[in-house]
Amino acid sequence: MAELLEVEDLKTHFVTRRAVVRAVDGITFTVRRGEALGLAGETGSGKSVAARSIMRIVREPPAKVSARRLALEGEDILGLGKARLRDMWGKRISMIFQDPSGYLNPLLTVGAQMTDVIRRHEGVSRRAALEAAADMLDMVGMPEPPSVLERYPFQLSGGMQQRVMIAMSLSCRPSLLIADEPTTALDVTIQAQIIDLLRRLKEKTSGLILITHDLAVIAGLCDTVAVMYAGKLVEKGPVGAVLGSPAHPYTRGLLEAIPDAGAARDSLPFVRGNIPSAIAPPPGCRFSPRCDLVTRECRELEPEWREVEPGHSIACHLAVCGGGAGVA
Amino acid sequence: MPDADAFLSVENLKKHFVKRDLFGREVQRLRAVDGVSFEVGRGEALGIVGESGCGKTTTAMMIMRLIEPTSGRVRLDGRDLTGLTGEQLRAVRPRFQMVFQDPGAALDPRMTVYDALEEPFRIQRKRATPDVIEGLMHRVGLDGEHLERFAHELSGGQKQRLVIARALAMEPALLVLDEPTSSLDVNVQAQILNLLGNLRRQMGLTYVLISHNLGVVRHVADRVAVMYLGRIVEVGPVGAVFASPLHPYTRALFSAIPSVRGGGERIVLEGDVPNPLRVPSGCRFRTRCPHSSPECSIGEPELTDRGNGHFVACSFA
Amino acid sequence: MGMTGARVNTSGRFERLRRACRTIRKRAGVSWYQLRRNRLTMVGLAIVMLLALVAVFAPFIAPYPGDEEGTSLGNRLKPPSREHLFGTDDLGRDVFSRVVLGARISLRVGVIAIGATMAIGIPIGAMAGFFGGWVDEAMMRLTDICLAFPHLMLALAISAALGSGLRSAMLAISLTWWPWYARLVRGQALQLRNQPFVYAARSMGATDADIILRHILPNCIGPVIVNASLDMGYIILATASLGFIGVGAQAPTPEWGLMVSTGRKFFLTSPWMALFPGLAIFVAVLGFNLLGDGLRDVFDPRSRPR
Repeated sequence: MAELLEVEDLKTHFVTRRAVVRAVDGITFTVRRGEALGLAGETGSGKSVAARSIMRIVREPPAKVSARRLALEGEDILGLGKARLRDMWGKRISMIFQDPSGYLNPLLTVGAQMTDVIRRHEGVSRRAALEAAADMLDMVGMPEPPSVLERYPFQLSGGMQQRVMIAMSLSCRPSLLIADEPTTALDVTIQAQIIDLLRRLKEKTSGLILITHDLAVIAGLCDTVAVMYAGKLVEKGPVGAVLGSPAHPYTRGLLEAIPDAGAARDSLPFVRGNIPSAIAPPPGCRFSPRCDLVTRECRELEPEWREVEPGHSIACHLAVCGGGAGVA
Repeated sequence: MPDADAFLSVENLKKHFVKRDLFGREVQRLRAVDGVSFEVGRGEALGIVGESGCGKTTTAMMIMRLIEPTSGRVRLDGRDLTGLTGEQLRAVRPRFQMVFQDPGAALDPRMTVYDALEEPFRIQRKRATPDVIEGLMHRVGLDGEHLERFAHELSGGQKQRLVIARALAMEPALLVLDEPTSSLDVNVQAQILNLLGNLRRQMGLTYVLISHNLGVVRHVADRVAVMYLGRIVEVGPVGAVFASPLHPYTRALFSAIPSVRGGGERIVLEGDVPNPLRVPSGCRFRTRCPHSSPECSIGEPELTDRGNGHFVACSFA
Repeated sequence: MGMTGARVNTSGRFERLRRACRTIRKRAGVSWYQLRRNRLTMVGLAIVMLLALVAVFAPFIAPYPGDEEGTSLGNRLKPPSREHLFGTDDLGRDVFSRVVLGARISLRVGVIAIGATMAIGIPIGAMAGFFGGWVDEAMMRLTDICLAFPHLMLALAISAALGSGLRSAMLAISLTWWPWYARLVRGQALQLRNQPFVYAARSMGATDADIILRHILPNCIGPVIVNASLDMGYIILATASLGFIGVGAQAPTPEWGLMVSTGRKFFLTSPWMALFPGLAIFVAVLGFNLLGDGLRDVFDPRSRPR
């Protein structure tokens, strides 16, 4: 089976007494075996909530997660109970986060934390677990793994902590690794090291979802990309196609707003306005209030998915088959 | 490279944090900034790039006189700022203002937008008329309806606009921008960068821009200085430095920047930045330099001119 | 032009006033909403409000407000009845009236002692935390010394010097209590002084006094209010215990601690004499503690259960 993760019409709504916040409002995508998917979006687009919903680590309630299909390796994971989920976490899906120091216990050594995870899932002896942990650290390019195992998180730099997190999350050979802004807190040269590492490790897992606001990181690491806006996906396809010839006005706007290290421009184009409220999203296309090419249709009807080239599709009324959106 | 027309001149600025034991003996010395010199002309924008811990923020804080330098001078428009204290310092403070990295933290959580905008006037014992406040908000593109909101009720971009408006209220000549957009989304970043560009053109401001985002520096700055472990290793016009970086560190730094176009060959540096408590002898980059040779451990290379104002501190570049 | 200018100005001033009102309402509104969600806090608030009302209107509530001296000895040690809700004491005084009048004394002592405590502790703490260095060192050693002083000893010493009475009790409490506030505010100031907004004010030319008054103190006020309301309870308790051992309020002051102390002798035969003032102390302390805990949840989101 080629599909590792199937997500169909995933919705995560936060139900409070006053309102329903539609953080994720019907997204559909698949991650194939051996593929790295980049989930891109601005702050508040719902990309992190989407990842946590797939992981099933959003707090329910107040969240309410629903989907027509949410399956990992063909098995439904939406209906799993607490105990089954605990077995799944770390072993079949694992996640790394933006701020590794917040997810490492400051009172335990790296070795203690890594062996905990390994022993939980593999049921091996402490010694075997320590050896496995050292191997993992070696794999993520950590110098002198045995000495690192004895250290406490605060004795490591940010880049080293992120390597430990990666080693830990890969220690039980999960099928799917979700990385939520793994390099945002790091310096550029360290970021480059981590991206390099993730690219090398891509083969070790069956699939990777990279969540980031930084399209450039996706360009350097992913095979496919899905762009999220206000709880919905607006464009998805192969990285080269989407970033090279973006078809959705939003994606295009985002790409143009990035200041270029190659050449200077007088002023940067940007998408006017703000992300709409997740409580009362605009009718029709959610991007319509900010779109320069908006038509009446856009304001009234929700756009269908259309393919602009093989494998590259957008949710936009202006897409005409075989070409990009009709843009001047 | 002394320059008579320099508006801001920084001379051999150092900040060492020294830890002493009970008897006043030095236990350790952290060289956060270790001899930085540069000049910025009137109306010019200088970008300072480098990784965290390279001393760029400490340099900015010393220019702002928010941290006392261990040694060195800062001159603004010919006037030595380092010697000023008390009332004299307060009197010149409006001339140089800072825009902070995290606009949320740079605003007092207990103040409304109105309070925050009025504060600079109150401090300088001036009257803030509604017209003036309105003018400021208009200048940075803030909506009048936000006046009663608290800082945490604004979006990131609005907060940064407010911080900029507060700085402009002092009618400064120099703005020190410390990572002004690093906490913002690209779309908002573009708007803030455009705003900063317009303000500079309209008001003839001088900028010192600190950023690790090379795209931002390329967009805003006229010249760029690259810092590594408390020193400038390369400085020059942005066009020249970006087109042909000379120092091995600059090259590695530039190649590490991911690009949506998926740039050229990547130079991935080994290891982390050395601890500023134990700065390597000789060239401080030699421990990570792909081209280091035994000579690099002897003597610290000085910035030397490679033509057209492009300076580099490497004996082999 | 001049006319429109003037009009703009007055409307501007009006606008500002209106804005200020709305801001206050908004600030209070947010906290009120959070406060209201917690039922126990509301119980605390109700108790404290009731106490305050009783204290203010004590002379009108107490059925026998004037009989400090004890009117008729024939009325001694009567158990609770319709005429005397809480019974009468050994001098024939109405215990209910004395408990009601005692609310006034306890609250006044609490407010004055807390006020004095804050007046000493907050400036010292703010300066120590903000300036750091030797200022911090000197002030913190002073607080250590004051903290090390047993407050009962100090109370005894003060009442020996100034004579026993509520004034000595308040003085003794304030002198031993302020270091807690100094420490609390110092800790806050220490964190706040490195906040970018403090740097921003400084770079605009704000003086140290300006920064302390405008930025440091307003941002410390939350925890201080929480502590003050928790401490109101303790101070009422401390006053009562000073009254109990005889160095606080003196007879015939209707002070709760003193009443418990007097009632102790008759506890086996007429338990109501000590019981009702004791209950009053318990309810008052509980009320302030519940309110204080609720306020902590409002001001300190980290302690708020979600």
